[in-house]
Amino acid sequence: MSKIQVQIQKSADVMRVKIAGVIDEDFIFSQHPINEGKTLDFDLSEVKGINSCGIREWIKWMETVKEAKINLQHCPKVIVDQMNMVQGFLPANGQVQSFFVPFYNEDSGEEKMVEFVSGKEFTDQGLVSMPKVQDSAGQDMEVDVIESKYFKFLKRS
Amino acid sequence: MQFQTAMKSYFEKEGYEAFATHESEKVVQYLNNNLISTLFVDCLLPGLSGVDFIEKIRKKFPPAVLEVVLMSGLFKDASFERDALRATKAIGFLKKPFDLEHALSFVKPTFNQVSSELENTVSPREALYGLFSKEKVSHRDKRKVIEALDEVHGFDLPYIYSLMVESKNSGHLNLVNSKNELSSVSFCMGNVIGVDIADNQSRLGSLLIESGYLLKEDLDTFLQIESSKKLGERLILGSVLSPHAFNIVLMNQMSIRLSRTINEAKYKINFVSTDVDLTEPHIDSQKMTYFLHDWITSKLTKEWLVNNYLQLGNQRLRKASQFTTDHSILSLPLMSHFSGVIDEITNGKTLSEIFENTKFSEEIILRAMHLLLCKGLLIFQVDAKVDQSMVQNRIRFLNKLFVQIDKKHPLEIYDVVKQLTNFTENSTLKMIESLKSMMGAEPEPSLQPEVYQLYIKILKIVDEMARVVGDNPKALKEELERQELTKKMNSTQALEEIRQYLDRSMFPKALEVVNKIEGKYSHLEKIAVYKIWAKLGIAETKENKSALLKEVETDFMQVPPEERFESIYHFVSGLKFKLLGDYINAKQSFEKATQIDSSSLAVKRELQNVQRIIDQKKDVLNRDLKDLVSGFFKKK
Repeated sequence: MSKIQVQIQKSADVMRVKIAGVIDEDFIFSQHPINEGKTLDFDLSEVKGINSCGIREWIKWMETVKEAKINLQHCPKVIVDQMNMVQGFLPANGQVQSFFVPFYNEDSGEEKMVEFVSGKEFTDQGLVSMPKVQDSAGQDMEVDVIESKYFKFLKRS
Repeated sequence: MQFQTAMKSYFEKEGYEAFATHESEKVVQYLNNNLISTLFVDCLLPGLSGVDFIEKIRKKFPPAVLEVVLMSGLFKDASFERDALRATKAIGFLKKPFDLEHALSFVKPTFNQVSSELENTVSPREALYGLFSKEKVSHRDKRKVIEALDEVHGFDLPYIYSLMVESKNSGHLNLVNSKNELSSVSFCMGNVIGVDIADNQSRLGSLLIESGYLLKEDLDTFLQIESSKKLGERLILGSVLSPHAFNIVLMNQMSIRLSRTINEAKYKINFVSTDVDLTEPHIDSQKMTYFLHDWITSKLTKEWLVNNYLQLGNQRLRKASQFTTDHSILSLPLMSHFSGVIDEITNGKTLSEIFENTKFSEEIILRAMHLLLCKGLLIFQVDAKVDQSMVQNRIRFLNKLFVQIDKKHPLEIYDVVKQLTNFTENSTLKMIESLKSMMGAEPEPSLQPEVYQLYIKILKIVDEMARVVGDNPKALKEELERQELTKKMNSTQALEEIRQYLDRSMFPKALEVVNKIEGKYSHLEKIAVYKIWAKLGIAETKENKSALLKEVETDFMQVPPEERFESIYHFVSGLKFKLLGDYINAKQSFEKATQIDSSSLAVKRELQNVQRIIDQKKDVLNRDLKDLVSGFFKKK
């Protein structure tokens, strides 16, 4: 079974693309043409991983839709990390609408992914507020990433 | 008193050990029994002025040993401040009330803090090497240290790979170099299962042909067939390649590719933790140990290792609980050839003391130490007593630093200072401030003239570097790249010259050029094998070969793993076997060399020579046997 599943739905000028699994050498961008919509909404919540082959394919894929407006929704940490590291991963015409931030409580060892949404926790200018996150026992949780590194992409978004 | 208490608790909160008293006798007593870095003294002490007190103790506690910060709420005029600073050689004057954070800025981090608990202020790279001081670290903590990394040096990668394997991680370690070229290493439960790099030389097809498992015609045929299947699978299904041979080449490919990532480049890095299937072949913990050994002995430069451990000169190492006398690492050449090196490293001396008085070279100590630290078999003693002879330590540190930056290009100096201070901001001046803080206060010229001279020389070099580099080292990069290009051309010429000497069997001449250029240029491909070839050529004409052959054994360790698949490596291996009288292995090595590159005349010649010797030996054996048998029937 393929490690990646790509579902594309087209309605009027909007194409909705949902990706699930790992974006790696098995992902061939040319098998999934997306250059028909004026707006592309990517749901990335189910992306579990990505390696260098996948990153290269993703960048090529994005280059096929330079004229469209690209919205990236529910970006998991694996995607945020690449946006921060690889030039061109977050295309110039792309905008992050929401992404996940890991939180952790050292005492309980509990980890939680919290979704940050554009206009609420962040804007084009950067982070605007940090939500108060608690674990299942009501204990405060801390952001489990280096903030200066993890939120760097917001300034380009 | 209230202020004193507030200061003490603030420093303690910031992780420093602080002692406060209003009695000057107690201060002297404390200084005699404890090693302290900074003394804050009020100018008005009971029965004595702070300035007089410091002047009194200065002979015993010169500025190099004790930094002093004066404080006063009464004496605030500029002339008093100037005179007091001059008289006491204090590094600062705080006018009360002052911000405690400002006071803290005068306290330099002690050498011991380098290996202290990982704190938020510690840079990600410091946190990585901070693991060298920790006996037990959870897999999660190791993973978090790797995830926190942003930019690393290519020579950090052996440790990172080893850490990934030891912490049983699954996922993809993605790397991007300065040219925005992507690579990734995939792990499954601590096994390396795949390596992808932007490199045409290590493509599977080429490697299969070079290894003799596939004909070029077959490869071309199968490449033309359109299929969704991967090349290897197609070749196996087409019965032109055995699964066994395919696995051998895949393993070689991973080895070559991993090794190629370990170079003098900067990488941005991130780790994508995800489930990955275990596939064959893979590199497990045992194999990773061998790779780690080979990378540390052949790829990491001595300069990089010196820089990495420069600030830890007063640290001591001990064996970790994981260390056992039958650990497989002890059978690897670096440990077995230099027997006793581990005892030397863990004899309770500080690193500086070891380097000053050892029967091994500094380079061997550094490589062995780095290997054992990366494997978690040694750790730095965080609770070790700091060497009391701080001045000696300081001289050693400054000396080493000077050697690392003297007569270097400003960008190289920039890199040394950056590596040493782990500085991440784009401010060269701030970086130099951080270095100065590491170097300690300016020594007193009359008390320590040598240290003073050294200190001033270093400052001049780094100040000149700051002037040339500014805050944007990239601007100078182009110039350096141009210089590198010229260097590369020169080194290529020198390598060609060596090759010509070797082909003409002018071995001493070849070795002379090797020795001349070896330290001058970095990344000289094939230099290690050329050196071996020249030495073996010289050894052939010598009666006592054993010393040279022992040297050659060490030289073999310095051949980078990716070069060990090349024709010339098999050729020099063949020469070694021939010299040892192992003609069968020599023949096999020469055959392997011709299989990869059939154009070399030297290889063909050696193959014929060895074949002739083997045939002669067979003849002798046959003739002897014939003589013996016929002897029974001869009439006496």
